Amino acid sequence: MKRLWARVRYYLGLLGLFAKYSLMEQMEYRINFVAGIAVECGYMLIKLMYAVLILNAGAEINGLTANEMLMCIGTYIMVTGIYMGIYPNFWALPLSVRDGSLDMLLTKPVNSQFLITLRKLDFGMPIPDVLCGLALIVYGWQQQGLPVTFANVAGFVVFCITGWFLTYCLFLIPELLSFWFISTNGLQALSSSVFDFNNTPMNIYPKWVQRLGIFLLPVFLITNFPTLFVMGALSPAMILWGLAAPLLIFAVQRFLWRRALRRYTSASG
Amino acid sequence: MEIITVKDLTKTFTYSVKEKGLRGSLRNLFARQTRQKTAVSGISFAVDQGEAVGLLGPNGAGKTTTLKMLSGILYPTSGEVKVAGYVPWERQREYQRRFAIVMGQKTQLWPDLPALDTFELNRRIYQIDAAEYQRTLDELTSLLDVRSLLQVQVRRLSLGERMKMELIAALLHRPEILYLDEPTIGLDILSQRSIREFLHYYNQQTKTTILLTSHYTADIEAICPRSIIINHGSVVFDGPLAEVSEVFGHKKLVSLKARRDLDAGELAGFGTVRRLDHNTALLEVDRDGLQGCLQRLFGALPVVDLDVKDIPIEEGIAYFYRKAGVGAQ
Repeated sequence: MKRLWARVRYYLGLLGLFAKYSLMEQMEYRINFVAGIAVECGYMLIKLMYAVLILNAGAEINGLTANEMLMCIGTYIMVTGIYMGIYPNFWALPLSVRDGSLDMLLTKPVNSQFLITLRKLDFGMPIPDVLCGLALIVYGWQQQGLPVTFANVAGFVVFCITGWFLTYCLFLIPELLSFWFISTNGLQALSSSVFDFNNTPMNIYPKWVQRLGIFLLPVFLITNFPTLFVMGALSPAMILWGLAAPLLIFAVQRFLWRRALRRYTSASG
Repeated sequence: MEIITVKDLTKTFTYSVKEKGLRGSLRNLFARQTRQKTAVSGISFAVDQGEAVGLLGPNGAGKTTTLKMLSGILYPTSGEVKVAGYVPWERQREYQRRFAIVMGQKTQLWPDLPALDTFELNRRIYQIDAAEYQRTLDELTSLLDVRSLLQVQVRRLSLGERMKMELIAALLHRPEILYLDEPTIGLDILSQRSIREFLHYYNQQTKTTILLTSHYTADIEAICPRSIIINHGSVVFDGPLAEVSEVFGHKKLVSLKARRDLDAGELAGFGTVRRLDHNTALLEVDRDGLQGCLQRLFGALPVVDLDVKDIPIEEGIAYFYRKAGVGAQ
């Protein structure tokens, strides 16, 4: 237990240093920093359009009220924002595979996935998303009159964290294919489109799409489960699945990671 | 004591071939032809603790691939390697703490930050005690004469300065084994020399095992008492670099200058004419017949200057580059 705690502290310490260095780097390029925030604001506005549409319609869709849907969309915007914080690593991965710049990272006595996927953190892009997402969640929660108990808040936070974790794994898998196929732009676009199914709460989709998105490719867990949990709409089995699915996907992703590193050919040079 | 043992190490890459033009691309889209390229084919060698060994070979000979397998970056296709008791590609943390690799074409420094920040990151990664870290850093920065540059962002450093920082970043955790892949590539003569001197000194002082690849024989001569020439993926020479031209040991070069212009016909009797330019010539002569040859030369020609030399190391290397079937430049 003591050793585990030492490991956790070691990795958190490194993550803190990565955050500091990334921030220092970004402050070197102010225009880029501001532009990143601006671009993300644009994307956020597009996502907000759905929220506005739903609120204006005031409709109830398959048992979800407009306010509950706002919470789902808020979660989606927030989780995406936090994911954008580590996106630079994902974006750079196929390039690093192609030009062999993973070489030095692979020789360090640190978990390679930790080093490769969390080394560069972006601070500009997550800011607008997290703020706006939180605002939507709080607004929806209040309007709906859902009780603010410790269990509710803790459950919501836990499902947000597992949602973020799922996002991390689900976006990393297509990037890992770059070890086999080098260029994966098409696959990345595909995974983004699947992810964008979260633009709206899953209740909008037909039952079979919902099942696919819960069990086969569990993208709906990311943004729907926190809200559904607070509403008391998750059965114990679903709660269990919501906690198990990220671990399952993580196991698949780790398996692929190991296979990928075996495939790594490094660019000659 | 043996610290690196390499046995029958082989690495084969699979790649696809494409015919030229759009038609080739279309064909490639539907039916891809793959071929195998053997970068390293069954090489074996051993390195003792504290040794400095140079790996030489023409481009594509498999030197870098070998280093990448020894440092665990690449998985081999077959063969065995043990370094300090570890199998490199298992990437055990204990092994990774015991070696370092510096590649002339790759960097571990954060370009937008001063090198000192990368050093601090390495201190945390390798969990180096703060006092020991400071001591090592002071020592390395003064040896390499870069103390005043520690606060400068890496992207503003010259190539030579950057390479010195790369060396410091690699040596902070005091590795037992240091892999160097073309550490002086693209550097000016002064930077090359100071890095060579540093590496030689460091190897002598700390007994760190060094395995170095380079295209510059001066690097190898200065740092490595022993060289391994790899060509076509296999070892073709293993020994001191000075002995590499011993394949030509029975030959000597005689360069001479005469008072008048010479012609090839009158020189042919003394040996093989390698070069002839007005009144200067370079002859390749059998060592055994050297004395008689020189006497006859002085008798037959109006010689004003004469010099006898060994065949240069580069020619020995070129011989071994060609030997395995791949022509060297």
